[in-house]
Amino acid sequence: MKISGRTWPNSLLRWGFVAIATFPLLAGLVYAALYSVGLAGALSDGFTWRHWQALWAEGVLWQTLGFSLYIAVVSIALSWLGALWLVWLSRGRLQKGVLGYLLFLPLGIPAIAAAFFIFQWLGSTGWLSRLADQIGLIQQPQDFPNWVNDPFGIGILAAHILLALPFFTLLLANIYRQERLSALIVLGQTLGASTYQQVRRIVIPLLWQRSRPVVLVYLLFVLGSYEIPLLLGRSHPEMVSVFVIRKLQRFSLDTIPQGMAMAVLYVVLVLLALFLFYRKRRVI
Amino acid sequence: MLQVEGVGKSFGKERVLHDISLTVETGHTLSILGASGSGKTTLLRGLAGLLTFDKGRVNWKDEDLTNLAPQERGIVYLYQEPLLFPHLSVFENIAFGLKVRKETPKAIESKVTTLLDELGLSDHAHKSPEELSGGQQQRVNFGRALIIEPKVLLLDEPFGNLDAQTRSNMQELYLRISREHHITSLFVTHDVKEALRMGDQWATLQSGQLHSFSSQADFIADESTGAQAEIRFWQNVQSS
Repeated sequence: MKISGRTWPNSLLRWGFVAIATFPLLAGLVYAALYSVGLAGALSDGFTWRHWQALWAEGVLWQTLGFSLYIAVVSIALSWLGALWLVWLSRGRLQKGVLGYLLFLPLGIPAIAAAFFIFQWLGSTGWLSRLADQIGLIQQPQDFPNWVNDPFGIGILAAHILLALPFFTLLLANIYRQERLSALIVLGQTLGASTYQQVRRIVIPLLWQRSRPVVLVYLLFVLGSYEIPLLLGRSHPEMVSVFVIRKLQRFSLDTIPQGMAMAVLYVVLVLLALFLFYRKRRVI
Repeated sequence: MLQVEGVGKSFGKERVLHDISLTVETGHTLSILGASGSGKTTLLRGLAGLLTFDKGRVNWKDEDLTNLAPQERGIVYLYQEPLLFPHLSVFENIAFGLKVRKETPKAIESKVTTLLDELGLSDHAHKSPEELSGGQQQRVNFGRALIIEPKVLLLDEPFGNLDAQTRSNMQELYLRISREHHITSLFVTHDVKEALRMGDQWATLQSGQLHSFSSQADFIADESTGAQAEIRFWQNVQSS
């Protein structure tokens, strides 16, 4: 039975929290949407699709979104698979000893510092290039392949993996222990599963199922990342945040609505992805 | 017939199993009565191939299983708790052993459906393990082991976590199923009544030493099994 004296403050608190958490975002989104169609902002002169059409016509829209998605999916997939490999090799005991402390270390590194490290390592005159030159793999440092500010975003991927790999390793090691995967693997063994089948039918599906919500959140975080692609990316293609900030901060005020349009589209796509994901989870 | 000849195991200087020999006739259940720390889990894990005995041999009929990997032995070890795969449904849990044996989807569907019916789990086929009661989970656990028709089933206090009524129901179910499927098993328990009820053969395991009894009467008569103490208790209750 509900006690009315306890229910209404709870309800008030809940709605209060929702209002505080969502109102600023919603207000910002509405303002950006109005700005992108010429109904708000310093140069607004009435409703127009002009800025959206400009984004669409240049093909920048899908290139930017596609490049962001590529970086997010590839870096998260490689990090998750790397973490899976480490956890499988260590049988989930990675958090013990010195290695456990070392895994926590990258979690405290700011994104801009990680980007700088990668720049130092992978740049055309970076440490790897000098090392390759010293041991005679290349004729001169400039011969080293371009892994920073490159069209495939290798530097961006490397920086994100540097940060995400330890995070996913700790996450998967925790799940490994909590779900008693060691015991489940032994059970699978006595039921006749080979090592490959233990990994394919027990370890991967269970770790994936349990880590999926966190993977999605991290994917969205990478999708909207700014500092790493700013330092390690090219001007074309760009990731969403870099594109938006560049449009918003240009000397010409004409480009601001395009930045707003991109931001609105990005937020709508993210909210749609979250909605579909959580609706599917509720159905399951 | 399962034959175990002189197996032993030590962990460092601690000797956990001393020259254990036993024989279980095909289709029989050997009840092993043992307290915690008597070495019963070590014995079962060794028989399943999950640890290596320091010495001795394990044979099934004329086949030497001693050096085979766990997945090649056809011996299934069941833990005290059901330990179902949490990411799979009831149906998929039971089908697991058939899938790793690469049976056809049609054969899997047919076998699992029949067994679910036999275990009274047909209405729960698509539920996840966490939606089941303890007794239902243990039934799925049995089904998952039985469906692959193992040579030997090793049961490590399988009903230890169940309430009295569910435990009794599960004992009855297991007796029926094991007779119908002609299962050869080792049933480890610390409950003398359960040992008497479940076994066709009986033994005790104390401090790593196994003592087999030639008949149920011998098992009951031996003071070390606790059966006499149990009888005296009920006689005292009746006479008071």
